[in-house]
Amino acid sequence: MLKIKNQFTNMLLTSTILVLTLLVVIFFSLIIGVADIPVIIVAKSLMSFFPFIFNDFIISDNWHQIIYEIRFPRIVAAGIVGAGLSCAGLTYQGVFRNHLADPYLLGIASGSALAVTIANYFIPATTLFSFLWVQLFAFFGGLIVICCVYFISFFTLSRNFSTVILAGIALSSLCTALTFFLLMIQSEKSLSILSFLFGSFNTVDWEVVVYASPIILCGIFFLSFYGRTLNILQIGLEESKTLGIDAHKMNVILIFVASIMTCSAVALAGIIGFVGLVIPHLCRLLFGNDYQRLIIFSGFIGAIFLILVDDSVRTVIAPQEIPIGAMTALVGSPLFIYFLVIKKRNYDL
Amino acid sequence: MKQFASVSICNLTLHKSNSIILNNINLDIESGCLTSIIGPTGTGKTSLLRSIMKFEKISSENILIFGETIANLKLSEIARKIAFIHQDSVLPGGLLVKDYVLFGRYPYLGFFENTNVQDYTIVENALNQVNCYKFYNRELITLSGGEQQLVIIARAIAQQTPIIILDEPTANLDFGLSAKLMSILQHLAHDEQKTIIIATHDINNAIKFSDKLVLLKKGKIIAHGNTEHAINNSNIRDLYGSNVKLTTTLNGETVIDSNY
Repeated sequence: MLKIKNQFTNMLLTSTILVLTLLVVIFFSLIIGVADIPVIIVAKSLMSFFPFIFNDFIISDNWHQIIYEIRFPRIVAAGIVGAGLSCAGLTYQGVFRNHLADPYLLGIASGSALAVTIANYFIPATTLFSFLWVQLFAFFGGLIVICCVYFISFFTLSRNFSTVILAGIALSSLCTALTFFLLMIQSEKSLSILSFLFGSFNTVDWEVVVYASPIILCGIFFLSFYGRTLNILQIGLEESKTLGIDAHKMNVILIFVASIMTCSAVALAGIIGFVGLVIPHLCRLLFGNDYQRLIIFSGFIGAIFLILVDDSVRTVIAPQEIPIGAMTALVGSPLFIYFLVIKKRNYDL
Repeated sequence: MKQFASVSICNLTLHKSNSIILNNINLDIESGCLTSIIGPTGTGKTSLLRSIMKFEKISSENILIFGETIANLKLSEIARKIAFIHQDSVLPGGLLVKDYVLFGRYPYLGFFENTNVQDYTIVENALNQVNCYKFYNRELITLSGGEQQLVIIARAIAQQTPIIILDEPTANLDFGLSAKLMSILQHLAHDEQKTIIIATHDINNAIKFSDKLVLLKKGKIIAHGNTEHAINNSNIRDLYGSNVKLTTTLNGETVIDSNY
């Protein structure tokens, strides 16, 4: 009895700490940036949303726009993409029972990149970057690749996951090759989509966030119920069946949900590597191997991590920005190595 | 009410890539017995066990569990009737012994349900039954091979199924541990009226501890019944060649010896 209670208290405590950290990080990220807005202004402005506190506080239009139209959507997007990618990465690692799997394993990134490059080739840039064309192309590019991978593994009648991964790698390479080909023959246009290929939250506004984030949040909500299933899948496909889980069906569903989440994340912010691979591992080092907890915790850690990285992207060489895909690795690798060393865990791949 | 055998297999034939693995198997396995399936390597022991779990492509009408054809049973229903231990169980890293044994409770949990105090008590009892309670909070992969095997059996016990099937449970175990494991299985069969079915190469332990033996050769049953009846020199030579023979030890146990 005591043991279960302790487990529950631990889970609750860790979750509370993570939620508070996330809130602090969001607040901190609202303050920093090129425009120098005093802390007290941001705090008062945020508090004026609650009843009876600073209700008569008026903020200048300029600052209001910077906080709520530029910084806030960007922070929300970074948080959601970070959470989505790390949950999707964790799911991929769980389903494939391979700690080297990441959300782009089956070629979503290359598919999205190819789709955006094709769109860039045929649609004039001014039209392309208005409305949600880039996002739509990125989303469906990734989705088409995933569907192709599924069809290939369906036609080979293989129930072996190596076939799925090999099909993914083959399609991924094909898409990358075609992307490079298109970029080469239209080099004057290629600069405009570089921000997509390296990932960026620069163009994010509320409209994009509103379309893409529900998919990711629903995905995380869905996956949070399958932590126990992921735990059991670790003992193998047939053994999971002996415990009443239709492992093949579950794998297909889980991969599909994680892939849809990844497609949305790519649509929102372009291709951001590292997060989906390393944040789940960081969480494993911190919290152990229980997927029920890992799904939730890696969501939080992913969100906190990507918001902080995006902060550094905005501020380090302001007003210019560093591609976030490069920054994630730059910030994340030393952090990860640090934890790897201090935990001294026998890390079994 | 008619008493059904726990597992009935009728006219089971299994083909794999044009060769016959199991040839017209008819077998009734009773509860409260430890039944061992013995035979040379590649004779279809594992395939027979896997067929019971619907892992092999057979016409499922051939196999009945407590009178019900397995074709009509969902995976979760089978999981509440049969616990199955594979020959090479995969043990994920970073998992504690208690959490692994707790997997055995999964078939009983609803989608929104989580494990409760009762489940933990069942886990503790299961670990006690195999003398592994001391490993409760240990990481599974840090245990020795034999200890891991006992914990895997604890998982099957925690599943609280009337039937437990084990594929070569004593492979890779030392002599003492094999005997200990077999005696645990025998105890489960006799005291808790479970149906224990094992496939094994450990023939002397099988003779010592089993109530029933099934002798399988090239996919066919050559003898089946109480251990003392099923085992004789002609059957044993039929299975393992003319260089083996039955002998009796000083304390009256029947063992198999070879002339090599």
